[in-house]
Amino acid sequence: MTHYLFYQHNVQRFFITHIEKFDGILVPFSIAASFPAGTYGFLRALLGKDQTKRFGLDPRSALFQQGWNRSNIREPHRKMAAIFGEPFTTVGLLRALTPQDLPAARINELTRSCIQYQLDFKVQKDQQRKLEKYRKLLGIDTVPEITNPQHFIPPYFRFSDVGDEWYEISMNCTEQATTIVPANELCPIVHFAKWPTTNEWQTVAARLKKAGISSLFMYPNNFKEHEAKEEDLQKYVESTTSIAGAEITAIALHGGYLSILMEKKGLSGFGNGVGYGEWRDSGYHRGGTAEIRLYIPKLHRFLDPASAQSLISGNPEHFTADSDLLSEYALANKPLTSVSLQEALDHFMDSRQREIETVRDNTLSHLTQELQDTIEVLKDIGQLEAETYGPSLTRWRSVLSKA
Amino acid sequence: METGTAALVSCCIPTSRSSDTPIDPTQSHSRLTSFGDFRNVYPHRHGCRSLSADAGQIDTRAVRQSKGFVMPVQLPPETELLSPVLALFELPGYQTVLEAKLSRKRIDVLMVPNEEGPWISIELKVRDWKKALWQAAINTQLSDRSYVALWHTRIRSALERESLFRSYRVGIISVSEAGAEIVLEPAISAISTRSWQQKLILEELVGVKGKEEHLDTLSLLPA
Repeated sequence: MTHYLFYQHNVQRFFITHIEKFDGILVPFSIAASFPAGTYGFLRALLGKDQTKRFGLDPRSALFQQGWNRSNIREPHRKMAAIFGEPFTTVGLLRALTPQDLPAARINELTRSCIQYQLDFKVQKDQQRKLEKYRKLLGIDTVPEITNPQHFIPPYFRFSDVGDEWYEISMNCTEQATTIVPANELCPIVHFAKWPTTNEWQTVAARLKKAGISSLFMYPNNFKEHEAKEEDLQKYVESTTSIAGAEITAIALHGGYLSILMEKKGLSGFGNGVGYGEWRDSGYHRGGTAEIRLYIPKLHRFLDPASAQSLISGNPEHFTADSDLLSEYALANKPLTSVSLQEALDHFMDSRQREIETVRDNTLSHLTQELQDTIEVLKDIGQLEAETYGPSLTRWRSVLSKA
Repeated sequence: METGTAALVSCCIPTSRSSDTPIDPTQSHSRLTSFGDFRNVYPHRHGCRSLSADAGQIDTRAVRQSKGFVMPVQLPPETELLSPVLALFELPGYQTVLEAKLSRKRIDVLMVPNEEGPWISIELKVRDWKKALWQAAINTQLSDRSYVALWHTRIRSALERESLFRSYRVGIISVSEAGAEIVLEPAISAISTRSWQQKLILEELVGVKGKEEHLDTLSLLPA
């Protein structure tokens, strides 16, 4: 299971400390464009330290097809638009793009600009001062050129149905991109509002394979693993098996523990943010710093510290078993509300690595039994805990247990 | 719109008073403060955003049916629960904190003893007793006695689940136009992290009081 982390410039040290706990790094265009020197310098040094790490730049072009308040556009979005060119810089900053804004000629220009930006990223002129800073930060002697495997990601848009206008535009972008970089280095993001059916995936896979594409990122919009209905979870399983069955490498662009479990159904990788970000609405345009949240390994979800404390006090033995941090706090009778952001992030990364290893080393029936064990513990603690935290685990167990 | 000190003052309500003294939420009192982020203090009555957020709800569950017509019962705004609840706890030697922050959550009313005594928390809800119970159960991480205060028309449905309240060691307060009364006393529970949690809140409270003085000094009222 390949684990991608979304890059955040404000927690660079985190990527260094946990360098052995992720396999790839995804950089949003908004960050690469807003902090070009810092992003390039840091990534070059990081990727130089481990040249097996994959990386990709996520265009996040779907943002401009969404209706959000454009009266006070943030600078990162202006810079993203500048990479794409027209019509992003003109109408895209004034209103939501429509399919009519992107005729064939525009699609070609847009794709070329987007891919060229990604090609240029790894061969930027050395900014010696920045490179020197990051060389020291990473404790390496020299900073080599970036030779790590790169996923090239064509522009993409959110579609409702396979075959609709936005789907066609996204596919045209991908097909156009194969004229710029080798098809096997492309990993398009297939971004949908609702889960395609098995038949529709076969259509998608056939078209991508015809273009020579061998891997894709699945991106269901704003898909929250803990809140999804069972029928959507079932479609997640079916989608994964369909794509894998078509011999295309399927990666979930955003995901949590359920995505890790999906390894058993053929998923090859997944991405998440640092400490949060297991889902994303492509129309979300605001930034900001996340508040401290604590990952609870047995629940495979984040809780605010007060809720985490309340839960753990119901059965400390069970809920601290998979975590050094939670165990230490419980032993010292120290409230979890005093956990620092750094501690919470480190704890999350340790927990995530443990989850990946656990799934890798155990059978699906063992893993679903673990979910059931936690469901039983929740019932023993109380009705409200069972009602609040139990249903998602029950749904996961249900869909994963099906053949 | 009121800002700064004016908003701060509107949060301050006396907790200890004779029963015939009407509660005036615009009167300042040193023993009561808002513990939330001051920038988020809204100049509503009692100055607390979440307390006034569901003003005047229609109780669609409590309906009276007559000749086929459904008559919804108007519930009071959440702020209407506050004054009777505060009057119920006439405790000398306590500070009352509105919207006390407990990590990302806010406790509607937190009563903190100046010296010895139990910490008391109250969640105000006009209708959703289960949501209030959930929050009140989390509040036991901090408070020795945790209550939910409900509008009297919602008490019966809550009391039907009395065993659930007891299992979470949460008490129930009934509020009506006539006042507030405790209908279920909470059991006292031992939580190993509570005293440390209380210490953290006290430290934060001291910090906020310092900030309050700073705000008073600067006077953020518009010129």
